[in-house]
Amino acid sequence: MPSYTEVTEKKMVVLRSSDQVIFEIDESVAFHSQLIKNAIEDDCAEPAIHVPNVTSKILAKVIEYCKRHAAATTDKVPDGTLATTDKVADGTPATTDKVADGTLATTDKVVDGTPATTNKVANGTPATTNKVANGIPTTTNKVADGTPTTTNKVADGTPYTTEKVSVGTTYTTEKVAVGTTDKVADEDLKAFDAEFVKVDESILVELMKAANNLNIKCLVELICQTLAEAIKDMTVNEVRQAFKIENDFTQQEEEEVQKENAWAYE
Amino acid sequence: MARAPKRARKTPDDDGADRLSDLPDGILCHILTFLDTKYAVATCVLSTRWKDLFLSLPNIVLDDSLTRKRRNKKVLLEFAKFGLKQIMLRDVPHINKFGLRCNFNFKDPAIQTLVCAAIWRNVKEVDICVGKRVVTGILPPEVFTSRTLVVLKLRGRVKLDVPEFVSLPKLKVMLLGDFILASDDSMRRLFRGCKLLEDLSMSKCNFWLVDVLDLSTPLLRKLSFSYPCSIVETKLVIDTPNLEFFEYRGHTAKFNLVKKLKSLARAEIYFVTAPKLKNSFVEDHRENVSEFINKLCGVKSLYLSIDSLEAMYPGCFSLYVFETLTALELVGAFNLQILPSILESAPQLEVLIIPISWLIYHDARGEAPYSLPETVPVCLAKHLRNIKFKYFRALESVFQLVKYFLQNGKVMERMIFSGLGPWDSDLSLSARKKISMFPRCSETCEIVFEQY
Repeated sequence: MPSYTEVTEKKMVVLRSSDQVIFEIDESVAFHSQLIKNAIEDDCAEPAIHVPNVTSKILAKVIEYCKRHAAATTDKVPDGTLATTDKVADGTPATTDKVADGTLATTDKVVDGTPATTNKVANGTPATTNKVANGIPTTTNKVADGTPTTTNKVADGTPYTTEKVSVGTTYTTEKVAVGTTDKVADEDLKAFDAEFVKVDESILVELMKAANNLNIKCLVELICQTLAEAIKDMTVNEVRQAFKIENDFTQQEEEEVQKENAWAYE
Repeated sequence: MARAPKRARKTPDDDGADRLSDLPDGILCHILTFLDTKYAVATCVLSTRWKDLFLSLPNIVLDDSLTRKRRNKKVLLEFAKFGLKQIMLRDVPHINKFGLRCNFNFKDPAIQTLVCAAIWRNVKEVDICVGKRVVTGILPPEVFTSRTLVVLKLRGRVKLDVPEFVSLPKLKVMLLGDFILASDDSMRRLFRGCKLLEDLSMSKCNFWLVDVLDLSTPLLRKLSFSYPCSIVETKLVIDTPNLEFFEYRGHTAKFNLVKKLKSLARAEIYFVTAPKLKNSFVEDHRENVSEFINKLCGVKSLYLSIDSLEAMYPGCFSLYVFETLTALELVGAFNLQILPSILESAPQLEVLIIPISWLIYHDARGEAPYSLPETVPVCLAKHLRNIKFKYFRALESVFQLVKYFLQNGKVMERMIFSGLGPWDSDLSLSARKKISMFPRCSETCEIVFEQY
């Protein structure tokens, strides 16, 4: 694959779980963990980073989380578009093209702000790339006289043409733009988070331990919040059962503690 | 007395080991910070390890509606005692946040003491919400003389009585909601006492008793008035030279922006017009609103209810020149024919969001195509990069307008159409096809269609 000058080479990081399973992940994904980030910066990452307290099962889940969150944050806004100063309501045009399933498409970084889906057509006949929500494949309408509709020019001048397609044929480009706004992308991420934590309490605690060991702040926050919500709706005994907390109070001690903060139990 | 025997220890098997025991206390405490204080404290009975965890929590959030018991004096006292104990016992250098949701009689001395205790423990953020059923309530004067308070949020449909002496040297953020503002003097005392105020929000406050609201806070950066009640006769004097964000949603008042707001980055102006406005009222405010908008002309990003503005003062927008405006979002139904004149007023405009409205086909001249100016507005020729048309309607005049933009937008990068409806509907298909065929002045222009 040709390399583009603006795109830094993809660096991979190797992790080894407690049960000796190897995971190879992108550096941007790995950087979600402050621990790994420090290890890499201090040059202690070769040949692999050993994660002794985390099993492969849990590590795989953690990596899944980091991957999804990495994809959500690396969309770049074309130069010059007002991204940060204008807090315009939903629908701000200052959005970038987001990829449907979270895969980061690395080939579409273009210089000087020209959006990557530049339709350059020879004779002025316009063409559009229709963008649809949530990964539905797009159709590119063929223009009447057979002119190929999309010629995308990428940074270093290498042109690449998409196939000439007739109306109705669906195909997916490497970069399927989701014609949605930042707001919907945020909601997608929230939905992912909500699904991610729909697991058994024991798994949640294991994930928490892993996130804490690896120092992944956002995951720690997410699980803390989830556990808090779970605890809120449980009685004292239910909490004890769910998290296998041993009650080492005597009957008397327990009653006393409850009396001291009576209102909390009403 | 002999101690009762300890409960038989459960033999921990691999699966039954205390799952949370590997986590440090810090994490357990962090979990507790997401809980209302009542639930956080209730965990202390789980085991000896959990007994004192809540003592290191820096925030206290109390909500007296969280009890299943019927509200009476005894329960109120129990609640107050619990709250007070929490404030006193916390083993932290100062309380970080004190939140109180009170549906009881807020005036009760027990509740007042609670608030004072938080202040005495050098609290940084106070968030008091007095419930709707409370008819009277006064805030203890301690709230207005705290040396440590940074954020003050007060909500409640009660009269805000400000004491004679106000000194809040560290206060940066203030939010007042639903309050009935007591008097001119009262407000003046309040703002005089917080010189470092940076962020002020007044939401649904009642200005019935205030003739002049004087906001001369030199360091104010963010100001928000949202749906003030009975404000039409109130004079709003705003002398805030460093303002960066200004939001006003509600009826027009007698604005007096003392100086032009030079640092203003964003303004959100949404006027609500009363359905039956007397002409005299509109006339009275005309100069005033006109001056008001004029002082906002240095803004960079603007959200504006163009419909109410045009309804009150047709054609007024074209009187202004927004020299530095780069992003404009218009809301409300207005006749798109005035769009070119709006564009003339903003020579540096780069981003534009406009709603397509039903006013188009209610035009007196019917649906006949109208002539768009031959002299292309400066921004369209030089700066306008992104346009979004919301609530798309497949009307001839709309297509004309789109064609005009595409033909003349030299630096257009992206044009978005939303509200086209289901993707495979005839309407959507034909509209998309038609728009795609329009010749484009800018080769790099991209057209995006959205269903909703």
